[in-house]
Amino acid sequence: MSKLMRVNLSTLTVTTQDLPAEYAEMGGRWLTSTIVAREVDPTCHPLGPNNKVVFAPGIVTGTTAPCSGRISVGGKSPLTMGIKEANAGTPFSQKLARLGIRALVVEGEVTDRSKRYVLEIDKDGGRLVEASDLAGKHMEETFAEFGKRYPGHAWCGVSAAGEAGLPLAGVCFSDAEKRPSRYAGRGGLGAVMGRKGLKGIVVDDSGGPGVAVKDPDRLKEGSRKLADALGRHDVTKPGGALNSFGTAVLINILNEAGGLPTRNFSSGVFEGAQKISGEAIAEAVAERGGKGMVGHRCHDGCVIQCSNVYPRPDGEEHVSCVEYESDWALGANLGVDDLDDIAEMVRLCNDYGLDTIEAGVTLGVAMEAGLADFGDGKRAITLLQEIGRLTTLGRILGNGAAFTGRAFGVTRVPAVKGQGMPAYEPRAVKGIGATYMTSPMGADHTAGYTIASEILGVGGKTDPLATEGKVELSRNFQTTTAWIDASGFCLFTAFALIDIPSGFEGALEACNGVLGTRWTMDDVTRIGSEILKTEAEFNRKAGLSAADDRPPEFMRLEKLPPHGHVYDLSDDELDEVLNF
Amino acid sequence: MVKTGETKVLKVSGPEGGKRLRFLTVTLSLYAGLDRHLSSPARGPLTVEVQQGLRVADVLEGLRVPREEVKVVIVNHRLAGLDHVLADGDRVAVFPTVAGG
Repeated sequence: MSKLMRVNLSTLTVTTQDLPAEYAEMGGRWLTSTIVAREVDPTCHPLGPNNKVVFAPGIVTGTTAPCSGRISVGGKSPLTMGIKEANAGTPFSQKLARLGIRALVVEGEVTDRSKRYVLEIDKDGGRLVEASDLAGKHMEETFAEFGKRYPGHAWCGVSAAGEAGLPLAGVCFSDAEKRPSRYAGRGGLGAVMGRKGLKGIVVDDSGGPGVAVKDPDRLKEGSRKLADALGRHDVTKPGGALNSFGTAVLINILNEAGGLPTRNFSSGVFEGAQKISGEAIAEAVAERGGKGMVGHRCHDGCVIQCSNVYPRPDGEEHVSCVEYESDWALGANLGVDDLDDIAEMVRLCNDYGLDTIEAGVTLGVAMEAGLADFGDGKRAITLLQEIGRLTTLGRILGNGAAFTGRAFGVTRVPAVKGQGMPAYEPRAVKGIGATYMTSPMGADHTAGYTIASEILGVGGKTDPLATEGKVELSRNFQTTTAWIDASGFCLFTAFALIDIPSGFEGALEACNGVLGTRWTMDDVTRIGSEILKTEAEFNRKAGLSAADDRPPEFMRLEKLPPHGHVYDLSDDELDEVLNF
Repeated sequence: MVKTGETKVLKVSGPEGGKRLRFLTVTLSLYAGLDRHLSSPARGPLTVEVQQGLRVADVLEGLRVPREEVKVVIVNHRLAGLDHVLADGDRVAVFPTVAGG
């Protein structure tokens, strides 16, 4: 029987119950958003006792289905003040699922602010154990301690920045080799968890019951079809683009398309793009040798393996991983073209527990304010260290791009609902802009990745500079993505699902095998739109409105080189995107 | 291997061998491993002298880049096709299937 575990930091109690019947078919984002919408007061302070952090593995997570080790983390965001789901790929999720735990709800807050706790979970249940000696420690030190205390577990945790309640803080999960590198990064859920006094969660699935599967043959057949599609598609196959160059293979194509946000979104072209590209990362790995690698996996069972380990000049490990968003945010967006500086900034973000996207967008705004020159990677590193040391300036930066913009009087702040924009310029790629403006998550590329058809030619081709058809394109991507985020499959399976019909059949069959359902493509749309409606309703009750589904004003006013476009989907068009 | 930023000059002519025909100069970047088809790989940009009237596809054929590996062509920051007829000074970028997020 599947379980729901509740952890209350006010009473220091852990209870486990059977998963309520109404949640039986839910997983991942579907489950976190549903529980948050039902149990969290939308007007609560996100860092107060009435907010919750909900963890949920996907429907197929923990099974042999390929690329399925995702975990969703949900709550009310201290960054957007709306609902948040952030997800990551990590063995933690697989272990939680194999213990039969479909949802973990963290509630309350410690009464003694000096105390910290670790939640231990194994086949016998959950226990809160005091770990106040870990207070104020960042992730490298925290995970080193977990390595001594819980060598057989998978872990998650929050840094000192999370404990301090900074909205830049994400929830950090261990990767396959137990690095602090896999982040449910966006929206500040690490701050929500940290303020509750919960320093970390450790999971050991030894002797656990495994994932309850209604129809093992159907799961097996679905997994086979999906694995076949992933193995055949040019994006996801062994030796394919993601496997050979990592996600930073996108740097050059966005730059050539004039859509790579540069120097705080003041240009769509970065002259240093090639130096920070996925090709350059692969070259550094090949030339430096040693511990560097491409084709790294975040969890066992991933066949795509898009992660990397970036080496120092002497071949020692610098950081895992330099992926597209981090590479862009801390590179092109700051005018920095030195991969070693970028790698150091990614390492610092991983150690300080920070979302690399929000950190980079914040530093871009800080550079606009004159705190550093664009292109000065060394100064950018010292600004990040201010956050790590929790100085007054660090706490301002640690509140994100929108807050930093207000603190320094900057109007060019690329954010929606207070969340910094990712690595695609909406003025050059109009559909992704529709996703940024209307997603209940705030500016989030993963919420509806129209880039696939607007730039990459996957799932059809559309003109990135045109506005026609982009309302429907974003809506369709957002709906399908919400379902994928519930399934537990990595979003990168979507490329093969969209292009190869048997791949999508396989993903559906795998879910049907676990749940005993008979879902078809119609159910993907039904479930996806239900998730989005639940999230939008929470946001409305939290006080967000159509006025929050808008681009920052400067994008309506400033023409972006090289195309000279402003953001020109109308307000009425934006209001139609999620008008189901 | 030719390093990033170095320039390499190639010449691509049509079937007539270029006699009495004008040549244009374009820059060409072959990304995400497509440069491995060149006799001397280069992430580009390459400077290519191209006979007037030739298309992107002709240049790629002349450089022995297999057409089936080409997914996206971008000319002067705009998505274009293999049949784009080259003009003097064009900035051409060619990609296999790539993706990420």
